[in-house]
Amino acid sequence: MNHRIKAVIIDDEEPARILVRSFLENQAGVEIAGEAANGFEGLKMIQAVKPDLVFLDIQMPKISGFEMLELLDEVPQIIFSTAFDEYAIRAFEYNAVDYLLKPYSQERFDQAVGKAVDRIRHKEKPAAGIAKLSAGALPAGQFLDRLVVRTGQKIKVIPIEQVEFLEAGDDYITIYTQEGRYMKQMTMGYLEEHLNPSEFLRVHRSFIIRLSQIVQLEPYDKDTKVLVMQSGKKIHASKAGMKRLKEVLGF
Amino acid sequence: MKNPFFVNRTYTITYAAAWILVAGIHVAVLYFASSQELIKAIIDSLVFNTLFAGIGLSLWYSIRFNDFSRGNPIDRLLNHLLIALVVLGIWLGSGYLILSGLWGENEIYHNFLNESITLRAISGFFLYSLIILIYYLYINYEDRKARIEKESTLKVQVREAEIDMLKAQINPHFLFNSLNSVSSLITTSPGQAREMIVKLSGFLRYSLENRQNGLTTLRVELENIRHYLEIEKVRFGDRLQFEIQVPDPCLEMTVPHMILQPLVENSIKHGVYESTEPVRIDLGAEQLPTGELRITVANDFDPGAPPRKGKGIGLQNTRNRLYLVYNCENCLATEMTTGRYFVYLRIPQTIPHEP
Repeated sequence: MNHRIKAVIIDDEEPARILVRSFLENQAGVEIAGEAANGFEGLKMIQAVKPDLVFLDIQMPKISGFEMLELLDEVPQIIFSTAFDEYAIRAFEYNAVDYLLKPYSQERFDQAVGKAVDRIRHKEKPAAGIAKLSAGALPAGQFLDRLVVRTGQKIKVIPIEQVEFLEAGDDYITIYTQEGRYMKQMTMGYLEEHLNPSEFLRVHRSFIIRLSQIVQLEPYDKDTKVLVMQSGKKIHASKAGMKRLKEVLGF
Repeated sequence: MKNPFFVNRTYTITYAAAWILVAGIHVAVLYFASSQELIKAIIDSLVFNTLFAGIGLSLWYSIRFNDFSRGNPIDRLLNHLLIALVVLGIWLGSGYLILSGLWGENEIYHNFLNESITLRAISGFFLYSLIILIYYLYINYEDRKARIEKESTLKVQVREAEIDMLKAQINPHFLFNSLNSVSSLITTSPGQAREMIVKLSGFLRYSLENRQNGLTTLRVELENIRHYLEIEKVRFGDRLQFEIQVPDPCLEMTVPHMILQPLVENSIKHGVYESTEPVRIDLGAEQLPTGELRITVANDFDPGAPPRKGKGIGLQNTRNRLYLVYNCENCLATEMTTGRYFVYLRIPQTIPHEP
């Protein structure tokens, strides 16, 4: 109960990290366990230190603050700090404690930390993980332009153009690209919502395909077909999927 | 619109002179061709032509206040014929009355007056048409002039608005992040904080400045870019390296105000934002053999980083601005090598005149 709260600061600008550190001097119950200057370092830091609280910038080199969170198995309490006000809604989709708009005052900062301390003391569940993600996480009319995955200790950024198709597993998705396949914790519903519908289509409960990758349709049974992809992979399109495909491709 | 013959002295004198000429011909015709007495020929000419000169002036109002440009052409023609009939009737009637009042008992003249009515009507109709034609040409000319004037002021306004819009592309996040840095520096290093505020103010003042012709010298422009880069340097530390190398003669050459800022901002966005390694930005300039100024902005970037959204807006705006100022379509060129991006500007030193 009385152990000090461990905090990590992740921001690519040093003055911003210094500011958080100096504001934290007011908070006797919080100690700084580490700092990181980008999402890669941040991820390692969080895995190593297992902090209770993270001060997180959003726009950073390589991967954004959001993308970094998506790679974590256990998500600590998050206070976002950024100069961008357009991510606020998305931040709360991640169940963030608070969203600090740079530049912010000591009072505003203390208020955010106060909320975080409350949550931690009451052992409230922090960010609910990716399953929580739903519509509204991206601004309207904006689609995912890349997917960030973890392969062992490595982080891979997959530009969306390289995605051939996606297959649903239990609580994860397998992403197929020319280079190989990657797994990521997320839902089909989320992807269906956030992939550009002029490029991707859900042809089956378990499959979302890139339309331009289809080379051939082979009969399967009365109502359904098998889609032959450029890579030679075959994907079963369901009855509902075929209906959608006909609408989109117009045949 | 004023009666064109009253717009200025020249027009009034021209109108009067034309009538004196017509009156002279009139006298000559009566005196030589019809063998009338000179005094009668002169009076006859004076009466009829003075009357018509007066009527001619008032015809302007029949054109101005009856909108003949609407309705179909046949209606318009009928309207004119009707007015011509009335006008000629009044003209001939009053002229006839005056002259027959003067010399009614003179049989030779009276007969002549009666016989010449048809000829007078025909020449009157001709004069009527001529005056109406002049009025229409004048209206047309004035409308056209007004339209061209309006169009050109509109063009200038649109252009100004566009330039203002393009200039107002300063990223608010740059401001907020910079202010956050200031907030941080205030406790750790007050001196640096003060310096940062001064630079930030200098940069803002410069970007808000509205120069008359939108041009400045490269020296002033570079001074401002240096402020901008130094502010960014405080934020990014060693991740941002920059060097400005411009030979002295180029410094006094002209460039559009704030032309470099979007390009350097791009370099930072696509270079520094996306890289964890130090990124170097170089600014250079040289005078081309054509006398034009060539500016190069180059930056490192991480070839592995996926392209950022919004790429190209800054470049497109700069291209548009160069087009608006210099009417130059290919004043901006880019080049990409592995890990390095170049933007080349070609800045003419003369501004084309409006066509």
